Amino acid sequence: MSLLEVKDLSFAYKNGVQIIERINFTLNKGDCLAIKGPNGSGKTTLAKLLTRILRPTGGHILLEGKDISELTLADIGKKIGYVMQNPERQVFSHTVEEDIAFSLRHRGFKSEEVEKKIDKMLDFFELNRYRKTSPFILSRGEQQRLAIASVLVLEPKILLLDEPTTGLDPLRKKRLELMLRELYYNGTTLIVISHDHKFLSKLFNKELCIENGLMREDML
Amino acid sequence: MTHFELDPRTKLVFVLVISSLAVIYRSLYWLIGLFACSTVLFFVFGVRFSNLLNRLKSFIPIIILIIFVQSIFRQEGNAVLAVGRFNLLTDVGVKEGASAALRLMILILSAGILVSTNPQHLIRGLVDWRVPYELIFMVQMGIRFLPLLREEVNDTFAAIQLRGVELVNVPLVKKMKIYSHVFLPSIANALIRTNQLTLAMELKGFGVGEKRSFYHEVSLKSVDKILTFVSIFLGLTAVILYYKWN
Repeated sequence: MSLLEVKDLSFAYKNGVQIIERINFTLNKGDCLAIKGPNGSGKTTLAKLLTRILRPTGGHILLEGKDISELTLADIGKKIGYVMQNPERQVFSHTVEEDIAFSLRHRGFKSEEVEKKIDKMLDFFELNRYRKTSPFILSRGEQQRLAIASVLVLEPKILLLDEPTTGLDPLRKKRLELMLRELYYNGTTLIVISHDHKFLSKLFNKELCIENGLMREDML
Repeated sequence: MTHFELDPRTKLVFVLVISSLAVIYRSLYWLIGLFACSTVLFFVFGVRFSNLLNRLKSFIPIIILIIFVQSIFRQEGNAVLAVGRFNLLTDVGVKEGASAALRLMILILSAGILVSTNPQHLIRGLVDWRVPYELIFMVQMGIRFLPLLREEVNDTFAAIQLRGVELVNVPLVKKMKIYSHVFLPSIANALIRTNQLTLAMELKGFGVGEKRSFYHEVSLKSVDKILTFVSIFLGLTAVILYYKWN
């Protein structure tokens, strides 16, 4: 059984404008999928469809064999960690550590365990010195690291990143690449949406090109 | 696109007259008549039927709530629905509820007339009426940012749920606490954006000159003057007739 299967996926707005048309692809554990395409081609819409934020107008998405239309966002969040194009929209707690702890506390993890996981994430993403800081005063790159940390703390099977290199300097980009490589070696399936072809070519074994909502899938 | 290219100020007068009448009228029948008039005007100004439906559809829960609350708190009249000695719904209550709902719908429809207006032309016209430009500009910017704010709130809601938080089967108190998380980033982002916008506007010279010029010029044509006069006259007549007959 595939981890994620997308069958004839289509999406159109109520006014009839077709954004995504008959997209098909399959992802297995450990795959790295790069989603490329020009501005307005439907990449972010595809990400929102994969996480059920938007409902498709045609086709199906199967997550571990289950149609995601039967799952709640909370169920999907346990398996897919989604980092949005605008990370400032998905950090919402009073401090950095509270933001990482948010999903753990809501799942009833014990305090010692939560502390341990927060420490691990803060170390990994070099956010230790901001532990008690408000996430809203962080730079975009830092907010993005926090957003990734906050979704990774749940150890999702799939990590979906939308334009993760936007606004990152070369050093941060390199670190992001190393982090993704480490996650990949740990068995996390990656889906990354980006314009940055150089960044994508280093890690990915599958690519999906979208142009005007239509796909072109190639195995690298 | 309107069928008649009226001056935005003429439309504004229409909206003011209709919304004032909606607030003044207390009688259900008068409100029904006013609702019919505003629906006709809505189409005359070229606003599409789908737009009308969408506009009203999003307010249905509020309209139902208003009818329910108004009905339940008016105990006089004949009982339509009662539990023991307590009247849940009375005929007077239902009438009051229907009136309040109609009033709200008229306000929504009359505001929709302004949708067919170019905001730049409206600003230009209001400046001619000596309304401070800065004030109109700020209101216009606020309205322009509303869809963005809605998108942000939706994204934050989705992000919270994707972190494994169910919003459906959560107790109300816990739900309110979760909602507070949604408004925190929205307010923070709105403040940051306001700050950036202020800087951008100052860099572009906003408010530097004492008198500013405009790319678009608008002027009241004869038909606008006549219609403005007629709508004010009809509005006043409608108020006088209402008080005379009620």
